[in-house]
Amino acid sequence: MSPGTRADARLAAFAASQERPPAAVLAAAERALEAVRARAADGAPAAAAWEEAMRPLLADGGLAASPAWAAYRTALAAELDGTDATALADPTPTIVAAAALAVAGDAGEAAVAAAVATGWELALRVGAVAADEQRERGWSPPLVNGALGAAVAAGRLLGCSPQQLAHALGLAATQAAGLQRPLGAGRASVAGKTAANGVEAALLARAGVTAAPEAIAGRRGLLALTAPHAASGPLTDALGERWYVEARA
Amino acid sequence: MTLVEQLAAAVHEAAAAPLPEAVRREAERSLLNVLGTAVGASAHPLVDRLLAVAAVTGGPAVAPVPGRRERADAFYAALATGAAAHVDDFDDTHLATVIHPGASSLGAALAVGAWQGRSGAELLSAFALACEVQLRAGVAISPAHYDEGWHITGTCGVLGAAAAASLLLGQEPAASAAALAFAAHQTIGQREGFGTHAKAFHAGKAAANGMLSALLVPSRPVPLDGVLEPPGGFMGALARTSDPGLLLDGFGTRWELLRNTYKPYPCGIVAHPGIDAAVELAPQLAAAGGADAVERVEYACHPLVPELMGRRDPGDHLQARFSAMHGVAVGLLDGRAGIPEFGDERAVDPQVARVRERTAFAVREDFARDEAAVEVALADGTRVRAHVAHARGSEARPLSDDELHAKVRELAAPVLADAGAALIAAVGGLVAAPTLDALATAVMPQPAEVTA
Repeated sequence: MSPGTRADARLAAFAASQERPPAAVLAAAERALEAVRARAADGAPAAAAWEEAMRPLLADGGLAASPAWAAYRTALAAELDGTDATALADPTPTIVAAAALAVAGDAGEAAVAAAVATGWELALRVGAVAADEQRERGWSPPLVNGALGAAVAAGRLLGCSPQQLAHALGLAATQAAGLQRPLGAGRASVAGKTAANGVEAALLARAGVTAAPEAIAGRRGLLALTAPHAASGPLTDALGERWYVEARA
Repeated sequence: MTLVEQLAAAVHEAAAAPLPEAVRREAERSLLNVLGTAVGASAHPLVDRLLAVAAVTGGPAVAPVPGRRERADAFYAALATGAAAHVDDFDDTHLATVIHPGASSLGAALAVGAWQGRSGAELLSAFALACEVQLRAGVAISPAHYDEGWHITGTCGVLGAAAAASLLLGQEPAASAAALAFAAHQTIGQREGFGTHAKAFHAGKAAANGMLSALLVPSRPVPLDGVLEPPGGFMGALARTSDPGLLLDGFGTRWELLRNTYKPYPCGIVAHPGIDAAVELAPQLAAAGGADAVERVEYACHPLVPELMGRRDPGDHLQARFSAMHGVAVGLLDGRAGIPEFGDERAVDPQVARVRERTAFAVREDFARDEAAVEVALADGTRVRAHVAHARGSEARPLSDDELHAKVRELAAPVLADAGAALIAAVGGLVAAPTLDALATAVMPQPAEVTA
């Protein structure tokens, strides 16, 4: 088994883990959810014009009626809300939380927080080994890695099996994109699309769509393509014990 | 003007005039070819699954999906159509970049064109420019981009799809530039996903992302500086070395689309000359007693064959696409290598496996990419050999219109009652068609006949 297989398989197992994250981690996820809800409400007027442009693709209920596009709207609105000084610093928690909220349904607050914590942690771990080199090559790390977290958060809440979660990760990894170049308000839209891609990846995997088992650390996976010198070892060091989320909170 | 604005201007300039005769003809051939593969794969489980997700998360069904009775919204129609066109690896190849340009171009152009009520000429022009834009982008970042491990069909396809969608939405050049900039942030595809649904998903999602990029643009000025050029832009992020000048060099006068080729076999193109040779030997092998008579097969080929398609023991139809030895084995045993020969059943057939097991690559550095030789040592001690200098469907030996029509009819026969006759006619008459109605009708299966 190559190191890639090990890393991807361990990340997928972590994504599906039902072990309860530490209280401090869950609290950080809850704060992220709260902040995203509030910022999305504040940013809703600014997001309305984008929703109007999307109208032809949407059912009567608009963006909210579609799981993937609901994630788009929440992340878009939250990122457009420029009144919050913390907005835009790192859109990763916004992308992950928006995906979770879009498919939370009647899942309990604890399940939603655990889903966000797990997805966020996975995105942060990829960012920890890859972000510097990704930026150097022109990639935006939160956009490139954020879809992974969104797929995990959404997949858990959509009831994906561990195997389906692994495919969801693969489908999200192969969509890793988003440049550092300025895009004005378009940046918020791309962040929203990243959240939507994550939800869609989970829906696709649940429907039986397959992807590569080594899409993150494999020979031609996300790391090899966006940060070829990144060491994949630290990806899974103390996974489930040490939480990057806690350091960010 | 930034590079992305220059690209948008070049696209609009080319779209303002009728396509040059040779380009129109090749655009029609490219379009017919991918409509054929999309119809042929319309019942593939991947397409079922994509449309099931569209039903959960998509909007009103306004756009056709070739070969399907149901429609989908423009985003998911583009996704399902682009994926279907590519999923059998039977579509097309631009050899210099190994882009399969038709699938994502069709996905975006048909979905937006049908939804917007465009004419046949407008669809054909947008389709041609979708191909051209992605091929130009591909040429500019080749060969580094694909070598690094990106699936160039998805990464460049999104730019072409955005160009087509923007044109068919009736946008001005400024909006098209913004659409292309959005698209540059929504590239898709790792080669890691080859052998799974992800590969075809790339072509479909490139189509959908491109159309969404165009849709989201209106009245929103965005910074455009450096979004395509290295360092930092699309070309810098996606390739260590690139030549931005090739993006627009002779755009509108020299067409990469003219170098598109159509696959005679549903698998990677590097295996095609070997399959040609195997098919040529099939009658001799049958006369000698079939699979049991095969002692050894020596498959002399270009080094890329084992590199890209070196799988010996495929477990299903997706993996069979990456086994040149499988293609040669069914070519020898079945005398053909179409969709059924690359299906799940033949992939694991014991006799086919036996021939694959006895096959060895003989890598020939001096062989061209479209050249191969197959030599079979038979049980009775005799040897038979066939050498193919240029594969069928290669640039040197393009599929004729008759061969292309035969391919489309064979693909359409299980799906469309008229086996694609109306489809072939509709594409032939497209440039004069005021609407896309005839085309949309031609690719839609008729309801099952009601018997008294």
